[in-house]
Amino acid sequence: MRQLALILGGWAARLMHPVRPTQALAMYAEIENLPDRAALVWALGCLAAACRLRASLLAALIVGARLCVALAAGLFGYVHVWSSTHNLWFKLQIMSGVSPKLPASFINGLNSQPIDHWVWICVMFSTLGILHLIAAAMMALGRNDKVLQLSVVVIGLDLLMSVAGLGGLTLSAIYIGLITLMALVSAGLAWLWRWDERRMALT
Amino acid sequence: MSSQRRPSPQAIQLLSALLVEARTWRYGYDLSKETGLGAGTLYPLLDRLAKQGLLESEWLPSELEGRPPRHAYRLTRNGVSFAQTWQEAPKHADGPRGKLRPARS
Repeated sequence: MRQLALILGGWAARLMHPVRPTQALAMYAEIENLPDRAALVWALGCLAAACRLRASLLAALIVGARLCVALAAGLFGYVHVWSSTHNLWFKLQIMSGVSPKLPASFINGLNSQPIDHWVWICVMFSTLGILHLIAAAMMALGRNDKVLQLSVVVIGLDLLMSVAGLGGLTLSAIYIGLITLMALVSAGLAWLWRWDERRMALT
Repeated sequence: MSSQRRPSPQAIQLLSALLVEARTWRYGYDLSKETGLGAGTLYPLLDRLAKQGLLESEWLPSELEGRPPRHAYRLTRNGVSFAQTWQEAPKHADGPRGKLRPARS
């Protein structure tokens, strides 16, 4: 219970600190000095107060935009993990003599490449997909620094893919373009968020 | 600088709670329990009263070992007379009269 109170209080303090630093620190210090149940009730009150203080139309729009981009990036990542693992799974089924209920053109496509190609595709695209899923989660949490770091890693991986001959230059260029766009949106929203905080701190 | 206007009912409630032991340091949680004000109302009020010179605040070491210091508050001399003024003033009064008028700083 105490741990939960500290986590909630930490969120409240982080949210409030740029606008009212002394109040944020004072509220958090109280949590540390209260017994378990009282600390949790106090922390919930602090979180509600921080959300009320930080609520503005601009903040709501920023959070909404962040969640939309995170959802799109998350779906993009999920599709990459799902499709690459399924391709490998179908290839393994075909190799073991089972014929999956798939269109003939799809089976021909799977048969046109050896198993090591599909393993390589699965590893690369799943990694890419997982990185996008993590970036989406960081975007939703407003961790712009992590989104930028992950974008650099994804761009590196895309370049590696094109060098390794997977997907060609066009596919890599599309991926690089998309992740760069996401990084730019994340940085822009983070800048707007800080601007809103500064504006609120002055009032 | 303290205002001549009647403080809000919450501010009067808070000033009354602080006036009970005017020179004793009080913590946010205790004041919240005493006045029934939530953290979102209490701290901005404390902040405003401190800016008006009615309250002083300080970080005091915790009574519990290994816990961080707590932010404590108490009334200043101006704050005591201001609190007494408004505690005694009738509800419909729009400003204190005569010698109980809070001092400007």
